[in-house]
Formats: sequence, structure tokens, C-alpha cells
Amino acid sequence: MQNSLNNDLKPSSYLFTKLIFAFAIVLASFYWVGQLDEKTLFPTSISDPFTFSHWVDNGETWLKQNYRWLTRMIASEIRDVLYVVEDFLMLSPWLFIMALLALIALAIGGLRLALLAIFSCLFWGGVDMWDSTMQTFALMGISVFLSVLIGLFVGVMCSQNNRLEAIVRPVLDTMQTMPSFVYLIPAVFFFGIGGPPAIFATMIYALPPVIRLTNLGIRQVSAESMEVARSFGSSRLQMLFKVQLPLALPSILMGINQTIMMALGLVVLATFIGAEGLGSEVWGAITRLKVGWSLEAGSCIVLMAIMFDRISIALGDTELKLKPSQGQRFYLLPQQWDRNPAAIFIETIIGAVWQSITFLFTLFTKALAWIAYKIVATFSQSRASILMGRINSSVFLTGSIVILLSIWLFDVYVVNIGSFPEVMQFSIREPVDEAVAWLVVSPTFIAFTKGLRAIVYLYLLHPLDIYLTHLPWYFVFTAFGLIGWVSLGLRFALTTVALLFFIGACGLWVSAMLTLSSVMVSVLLCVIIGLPIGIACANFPRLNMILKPILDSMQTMPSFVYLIPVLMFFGGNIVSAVIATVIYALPPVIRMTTLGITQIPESYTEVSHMFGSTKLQRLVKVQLPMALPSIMMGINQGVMMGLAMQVITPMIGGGGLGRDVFYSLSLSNTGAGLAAGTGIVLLAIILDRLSQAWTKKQREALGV
Amino acid sequence: MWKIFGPNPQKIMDQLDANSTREEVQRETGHVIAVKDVSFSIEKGETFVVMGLSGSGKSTLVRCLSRLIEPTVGNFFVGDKNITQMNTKDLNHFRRFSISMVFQHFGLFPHRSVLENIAYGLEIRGMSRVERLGKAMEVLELVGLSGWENNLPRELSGGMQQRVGLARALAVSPEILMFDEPFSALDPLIRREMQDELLSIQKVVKKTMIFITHDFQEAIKMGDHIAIMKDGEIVQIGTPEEIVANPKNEYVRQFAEDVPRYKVLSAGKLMRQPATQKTQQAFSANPTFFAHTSDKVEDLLEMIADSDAAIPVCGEKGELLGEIDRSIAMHSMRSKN
Repeated sequence: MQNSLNNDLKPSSYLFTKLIFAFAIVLASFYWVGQLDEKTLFPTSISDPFTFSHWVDNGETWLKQNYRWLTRMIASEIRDVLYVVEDFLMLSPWLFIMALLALIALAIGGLRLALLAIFSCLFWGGVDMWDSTMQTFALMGISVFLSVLIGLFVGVMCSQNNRLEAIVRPVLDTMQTMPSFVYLIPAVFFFGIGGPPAIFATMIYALPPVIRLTNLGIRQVSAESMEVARSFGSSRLQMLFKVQLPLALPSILMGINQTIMMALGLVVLATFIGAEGLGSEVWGAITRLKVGWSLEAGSCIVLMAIMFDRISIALGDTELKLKPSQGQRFYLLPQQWDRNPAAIFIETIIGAVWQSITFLFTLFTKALAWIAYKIVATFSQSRASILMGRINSSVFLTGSIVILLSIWLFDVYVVNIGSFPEVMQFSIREPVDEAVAWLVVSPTFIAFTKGLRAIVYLYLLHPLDIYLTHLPWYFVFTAFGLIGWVSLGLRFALTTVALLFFIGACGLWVSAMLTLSSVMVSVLLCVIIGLPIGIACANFPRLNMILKPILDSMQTMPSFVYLIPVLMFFGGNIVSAVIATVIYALPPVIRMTTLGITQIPESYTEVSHMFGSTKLQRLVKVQLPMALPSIMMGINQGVMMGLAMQVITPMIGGGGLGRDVFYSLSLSNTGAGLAAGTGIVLLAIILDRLSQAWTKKQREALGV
Repeated sequence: MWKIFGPNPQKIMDQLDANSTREEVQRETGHVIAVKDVSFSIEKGETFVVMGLSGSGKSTLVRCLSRLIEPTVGNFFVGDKNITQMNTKDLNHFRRFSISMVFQHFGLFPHRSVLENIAYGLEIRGMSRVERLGKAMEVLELVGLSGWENNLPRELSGGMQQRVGLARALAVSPEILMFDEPFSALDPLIRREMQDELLSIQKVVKKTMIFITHDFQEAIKMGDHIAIMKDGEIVQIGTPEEIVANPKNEYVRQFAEDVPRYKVLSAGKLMRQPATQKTQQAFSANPTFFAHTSDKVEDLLEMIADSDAAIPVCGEKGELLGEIDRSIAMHSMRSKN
């Protein structure tokens, strides 16, 4: 007992010594670096002959010379399809599209989702962004469709073949960490400008989750199910289609969901290569510094994201949903509001509408079934009754077809419905713009933003920038190598050094250090802000209830929507870039902190209650230590999102690797773009592995 | 039949020293001998029980029969067909039409309704939807689950789930039914109910059954013949009575001790031979009052209890062979010898 106690104590005190030691080294080196005047460069003797970007460019030129005809041909095919879909969406009467969306939502996710679809459509039309939304829709639809098609195929192949999986897996890892921007450059080269390269880039970017989760889902099918199937003599194909794929379906649908969300993120960015849609609205707003406009476009994107997200989640949900011909009551609002007269009023109206729709659906179906029965019965009695049964059992489908047909016929023969009526339009941008205009000139606000900017720059960003860029490269190598060694072992340490060496050899050393510094500052600020909010949320459920939807939409909002308000309030400089990154990376930190604390089993908090601890004691001695792995995971996600944001922040003055990527995009310089993009990926890999290793250790120590 | 697990079982098989134990082989080569030189034959229509503790190789053995696990060496004949030599196509045909299996954890497909689960084997054969669902309905009734056909497996209790598993195996009307510890995941009461039900179904369908269990009592109850396995080898094969009456070694004796002998042993095994003078006289006075050698002692208890004198025991032709009395019956109730 005595012995084991000693063993338990040892690592923590050891760790403490190590921490102090590390801190001392950092302080000392800080002082030492302060004496140096010049940035330390990676030795040019290494970086000069290592012309990675040149090699890439050569390869690209070769590909272009030999295969461009092929890609251009594919591009024109894709363009034709895109035009057909776009025309259908934009030229159809808006009521038709709305009904179509609402009915699909109703079929998949029930009434609640249908109402969301109707609301979204009204919003899109209302802020006069119907056409842009439909264009984005078309891009999304085609790229997601292609992604899913290819992804399912590759995923199934991977699940059947271990060697293929071993090849595909690292490719997917890289694809997923590569900043989405990087895909746009080669896409332009091979597919020209506009929709096709956007679809191509989106497809590749959004492919990994479907492949990964299809493969995983199939591999996770229990050995027992497979054995049963084999024992009944199923062939390999029968096994795949009758057992493995159906059982993997929830996992596959989750993959599709992730693919949709990623695709939406890139489709919006694709405005830079000339793809029309909501992205161009946001970009237009950024270049003209219009906060209201960007907010409208951003909200359109968020609504679209939420709708897609909910629909694809609902697809995988086997729970019963409210559909016509199920005579249940529908609750839109939380049930505890049931006493509120306003709530009762709204629900009664919806209920009445619902009842009548159900009634009409059933009536139409019965009538149709009866007519069909009479017609068919003239030549075959038995077929007629089968047909009647079929029609009667699909009330929903029949009703939907009737609605869509009648809208279409109405549009063609009675009145042209056309585009969204101007009467129903409203504007958010004016009041928002006015508010912003008022705020920007208010002296207190100016003082606040200036102060914040000064503090972040002078005390955090600038010193760290100087420190990291002036620190000799071998020092950084050693530091990362040592950290890697301690947390994951020698092999990882060597990998880390090799990855850093690549960055240096590409001539990206200073940029990489600047990126590292701004990510570190951003994440530090995220933790300072996010941790208290997360703790507060965990302790006050009501606050959590308010914040949760806000965080949800913050995470679905495409990252560059955040640039606009930041640009407005803080101007274009490095600090703005950091602030935008903080806003973008904040949600996971808050969320995981809350989750970590609320997930602590009741018994532990009870124990601390029983010993009479104060709230603060409980927080510091029980809740925070127990929630640490979860918090670390939140920080890890924050780091990843911060790195992803680096590619976008150059638009408002960010520096580092992101700026290299951004400029090479505008110069159509694939090699340099890919090198800088890879640099970000490598940093991401290093940081991700380090923090995950640390989290895992914590988790094991807690026995979770 | 042999099954060796490891990277190179064939090589180990060739070099194997017949006298080395399982532990020695594992220590020296890293290969595990799961089934070691097992052979037996099963009569058509009988229930053959393979009994052994976990790790004894019983599950591996039956999986080698249907080649869910490929045996290292050995043959399995059904009639004159050698299953072990079949190619994939023939093997799948054999699995589709001639053999089916009930699994320990039921192995029901969670995405299929009860009826679709039962129809799975028929679907794999390519039977039309209407036909296979009709057939499945019949079997569903046989196992007493009418009304549950459209439920999902997870909505059923454990016992009911295993009924579905049984129905699924029966639906393909195979020649051979295999049971891999079918009832060990069930509560004791449900287990007994299912055992009785399987026995009564067996009376109707009269299939050849291979039944695996780790429960000796269950083996005694279900089996016409029992093979007891230990460390991959068969220790003893015999009828339940033979095993309980004459355990071959200490290992088998330990199991047999747990069994109330009067439930297994017949009057013929326990009777005192020859019958005493007194019994002979009583038998000639009243030749209708006697017990058969094949009667289980359990079934004679009433008779023995009511009669102060010993009861005559006769052979198949009605000849007097011995006698059984209270003292013998009481002794048989003690499980240990």
C-alpha cells in the first residue's frame, strides 16, 4: 500500500518539476531572444535547393499540357448539368420550390422540419436573396450528390479490402486537415472558372467523411451478424447488401451529414473562383464593408445549413415522426409554455391547419383511389383492389403529388406566380447598418476597440511574434521534439522534427512561426473567455438553454461571415484577424467545458456536497479536474478551427501561412499555395497529435 | 478433426508430437490447438450434445463442421457428401439447404422485423417474397410468436428473441440443426421452458441436432448422446446414462456428481441382481406388477414409495432380471457415490 502510494505521487511531482523547468527555459530564452535584432532564417543552403513549390508547378504544367482537354471536357459536362439544375430551381415558381422543400422535409423529418423549411424559404425570398440561394443550392446539390456517390463506392471498397484501406486512410487524413482554400487553386487550373471547379473542389474537400464513415460503419457490423449471415449461406454480395450496408446505414448517414456541412462551407468560399451564389453576396458585403448585407447573406447560409443538417440527421433517425394520417397532436413550443395564452393560440392555429391538411390529403387520396379502382376494375378486378390498397396506403405521397401538380398547373394556366413577391420582402440590412453606423462613431466604443486592440497587440501578439520569429529554428526543433518525445515517444518526436524541417525547407519558416503565434494567442483568448462562460453554462441551465442555439448557429455559420463585423469594428490588421479567429474558435471551447462539467457523475458532486464544500471549492477541486479531458478536447478543436481560420483572416489583415495561401490563390500559383497549405496541415497534425496524446493521458489517469 | 489457431497451423500440424499437451504446444510455437483429434458419428434424427466448459473447443468444433471456421485437418461427412472438401458454391448451397444454426446471443438482424429475420435463409435462396413470408409465418406459429411478426427484435424479450432464432433456423427446413449454447443467455426459468419446448418441437420435426452447452444438466436433458470435451479433446462419448453411471475419469465424475442420479439412471442400471427369493415369489404371484429395465428411477418413485417390498424389474421380453427397493432408490438420490 505504502509503495503504491509513493508510485502514485511520483509522476505528478515529477511533472511539476518539469513544468517549472520548462517555464524557466522559456523565460530565459525570452530574455536571450530579446537581445537579438534580426529574425532568424532557416538556412538557405537547405531551403534554396528544396524548391517544393517549383516541383508542384512543373507537375501541374505537365498535367495541364497532357490532360487539360479531359478536365475541360468534364467541366463542360458538369456545367451543363449545373445549368439544368440551376434553371429548374431559379425559373420554377417560388411557391413550387417552397412546397417541394417543405414536403421533403415533412416526409423525412416531420412537421417541425417542414415548418423550418417554409420559414427558411420565406426568409430567403424576404431578404431578396432567392436567386443566390438557389444557385448555392444547385452547387451544393450536385457536389454533395457526386461526393456521396463516389464516397459510398470508395468506402465500400475500403471496407472489403484492408490493403486499399491502408492506402486510403492517410490520404483522407491529409485531405481533411488541408485548408479548404487550397483545393480551389488546382480546380481553377483544370476546370476553368465558375461552377465546375467549385463543384470539383467541393466534392474533393467533402469526400472524406462519407468514405470514412461508410468504411467504419461496415467494419463495425458485429462479427456475430456476419457469422449468422454466413451460416445461412449468404454470398459476399448478399452479405453486403442485406446485412452490412443496412446495418451501417446510421453511420453512413452521419458521414453524409458531415459531408453536407463541409460542402456548404466550401461552396460559399468558391465565390473566389467565380461561382455565383450566397458566397458572392457575402464577399460583396465584405468588399463594401456592409455589415447588414453580410448578416442577411450569412443568415441565409445558416438557415440552409440548419435545414440540411436537420434533414440529414432525421434521415438516420428511426423514431416515429408526425406525418399526415397519424392523428396525433403536434407541439411546436416547449410543453411548459402550455398555459401561456399566446402559445395556446399559435398551437391551435397550427393544429387546425394541420388537421385540415391531413383531412384534405386523406380525402384526395380516397377519391383518387376510388377513381383508379373504377377505371382498372373494368378489365381486372383483382389488380384494381391491389392498386386501391397501394394508393390508400400512401396518403402522403399522393397528397404531395397533388399539391405540387396543382401549384404547377396554377402557374402555367391561371396566373404566373413567378419570383418572390416584393410585397413580402423585408430588410434587415438597413436597421443593422444604422446601428453599426451609430456604434462606430460612439466615442466609448472607439475607446473600447482601440484599447482591446492595443492590449492584444502590445502584450500578447507582438512579443510572441518577435519571440517565435527570432528564436533560432533549431531551438524550436528541439523544443517540439522534446515535447513530442515526452508525450508520444521517440517516433513521434522524429516525425515532428521531419515535418518542421519540411516547413523550413519550403522557405516558410517565418510565416509558420507567425501563424503559430497568432493561433496560440487566439486559443489563449478563447480559453480566457470560453472557460468562464462554459462553467457558467454548466451551473445555470437557463443560460445554457439560451446560449446553445447561438453556439450552434455560430458553428454552422461559414467562417468568413465573422470577418465583416470584426473588420467594421476593429479595422484591417493582425489583431482583427486574431479576434475573428477567437470568435470562430470559441464555440467548441465553451461547449466542451459545459459538457465536461455536466457529464460528471452525480455521485462525485454529492460527495463534495456531503463534505460541505463551497461552490468554489467544488468547482476547483472536483469539477474542473474531472472535466479536464473534455476541456482539453475543446481546446484541441479550438486549435484546429483556429488553424483553419488562418486561410481566411488574410482578407482582414492576417499574416503568416494563411496569407501565403491567399496570395498564391490570387496569383494562381499552385505550387506556393500548396506548400503554404501543407505547412498549415503539418502544424495542425503536430498540434493535434500532441494535444490528443495529452488528453488521452489525462483520460486514462482519471480512468474514464 | 483438428483445428489449430496461429500464423502457420499447417506446419505445426505436420511437426506435431502426438503426446505433447496443449500448453506445451502453445508455449513452444505460439499456436493454440482448439480442437485436437476429435472424431464421432451422429445418427440421423438424434440429438448429439457437445458439452464442455468455456475454452474447451466445443464452439470451434461445431463451427468447423459448417466451416464457419476452416478446420486445419479433418473431414465432415453428411451422408456421402464431404463438406470439408466442398468449394464455395457447393458450401453455400449446403448451408442454404441442409444445415442451419441457432446462436448463443440470438444473432438477430436488428434492422429486420421478426418475420423478415425468420425469412432470411429463404431470401438468401432466392425464394419469392410472398412465398418466403408465408413460410416464415408458419414457423412463427410453431414457436408460438404469432402477432409479433412486424416487431423489431429489440422489442422482444430474451426468450422470445431466441424463439425467433430457432424459427429462423427451422424455416429453411434443414437436415441438420446446430445449436451454439442457445439458452445460456436466458434466465433459468425461461431456459427450462425453452428446453421443454425444443424437446416437443423435436418430437414433431425429428431433425438431426448438434447441441452445444456448458451445462451438464442441460446436456443430460437434451441429448441422446453426449460428448464431453476438455482442452480440445473428447473425454467421453456416450448416452447420458452411460456417462452418469460410468464416468471415465475424475473430470467427468465431477460433472456427474452434480446430477441427481435417479433422474438419469434406469432401473436396469441400479437393480440388485439377481432378484431375491421373496421377489421371485411375489412376481409369480402377481406378474403384472413390475418395472422395466429401461424405466428411469424417477418414474418409479411413486411405486417404490407405496410398496414395502422390493419391486421386480423385468427385461424387454418380460423375464425377471432383478429388483429395486427403497434403499436403492434412496441411495440413488444422493448425487455422490
